[in-house]
Amino acid sequence: MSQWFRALYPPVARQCPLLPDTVLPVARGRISQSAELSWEIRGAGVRPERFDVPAALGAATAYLALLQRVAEIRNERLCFTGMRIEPGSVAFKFQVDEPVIARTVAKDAKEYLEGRRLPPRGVTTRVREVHSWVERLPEGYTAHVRVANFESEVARRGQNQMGPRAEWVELRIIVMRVGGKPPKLAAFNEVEGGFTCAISEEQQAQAIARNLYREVDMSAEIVRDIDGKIVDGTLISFHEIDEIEGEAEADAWRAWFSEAGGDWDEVEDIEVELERSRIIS
Amino acid sequence: MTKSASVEIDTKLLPGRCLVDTGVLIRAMGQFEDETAGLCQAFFDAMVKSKNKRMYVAAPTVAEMLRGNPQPLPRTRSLVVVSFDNSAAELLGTEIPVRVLKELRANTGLSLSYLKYDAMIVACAKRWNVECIVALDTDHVVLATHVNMPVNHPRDFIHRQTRLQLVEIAANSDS
Repeated sequence: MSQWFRALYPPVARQCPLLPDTVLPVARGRISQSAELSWEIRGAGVRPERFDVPAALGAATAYLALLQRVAEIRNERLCFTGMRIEPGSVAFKFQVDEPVIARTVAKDAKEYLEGRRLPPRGVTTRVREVHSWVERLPEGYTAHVRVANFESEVARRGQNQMGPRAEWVELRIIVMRVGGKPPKLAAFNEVEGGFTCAISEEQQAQAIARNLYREVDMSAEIVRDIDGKIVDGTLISFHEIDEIEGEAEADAWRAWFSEAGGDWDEVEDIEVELERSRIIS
Repeated sequence: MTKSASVEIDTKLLPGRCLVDTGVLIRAMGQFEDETAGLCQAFFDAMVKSKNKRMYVAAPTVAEMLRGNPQPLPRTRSLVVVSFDNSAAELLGTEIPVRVLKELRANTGLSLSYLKYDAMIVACAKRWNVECIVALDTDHVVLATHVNMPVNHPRDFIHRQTRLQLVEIAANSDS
């Protein structure tokens, strides 16, 4: 088992390098109930002899990798060292060396998967992988996890998530298209990608349309989906960009600073003034 | 290659998109003279003159620069002021948590309020997906590792031949 397990999901195997290469699963019910993490696929028509095996196993291993990463964040170590399948079901029973830790991190993972808490550094990717695998399960299938008195359905992306969030942004965009009734702006930003937003006044639409395929700075109230993509918005205002280049552009900034930063003339040491460390000369 | 204040910048080495730190930008503005001011001006001029290069300036950096008569910020092609927004705040809170800042305070003696400011600039760099931060001081190097963001000194973009000459001059002046 361990060889296919390593091949299918290297992160899980990496955290437990002492996994023997010989066959590990304890398939005759010798693992105590308290030392197992159960991963079960439920749904109409799910039968042991008929289910999407790659999707079920892929989702399970992505989930185990998520738990291990969350354990790492908590400075804990979690190993899954065996597996059996509950007879008559699509329930994988993974032997876990630290069931109490497994329960704690499973609770954390639930909140990350449901979008109730922001995942810490390094966990976001694992959360996305679980979502990605769970989404591959056929319609009507659900994944359920149980460990040491904790039981939960594994959330699909968007399920139980906090709703779309609105915010005010200021972005340098390229005006890609303006049109429609009511008028809409199609914009592109280097980081945000392409998005559209409403323009509340016809006059504003005409003004920004004069900048077609040019860059402008826009202020907008936008709405992001749970993945952070801009899905809606309203243009508040925009400013055209000065079409100056090279020396003229440098001069414009220096002229600005000579006024706006004029008091820096009196400063002898920039780093001392900014309370920075010494510079690397 | 562009030349400014006796420093030659190799435009092939310049990043496509970088975030410029306060110390570099203030020196690049040309009102301040010290041993790195010429280098910062040369870097800035080379970026402005190169096609398809872009410098980002974090809004907290603008706050640090403003000392005088506040003026509307220029809106130009090569230099873009980017906001510390919701996404940057989330990034800062999760990737550079206060625990990291407290460790850095213990190691450097810098104030926590200053480090938070610096961390906001690093978070802006990550949020706006630049290739690197261009800075002179060491603080960003430590913070930037938490978001896997390279930090370059402006001298990293000096033309190789000029760099060798500078090393030679330094060696001769030492001997």
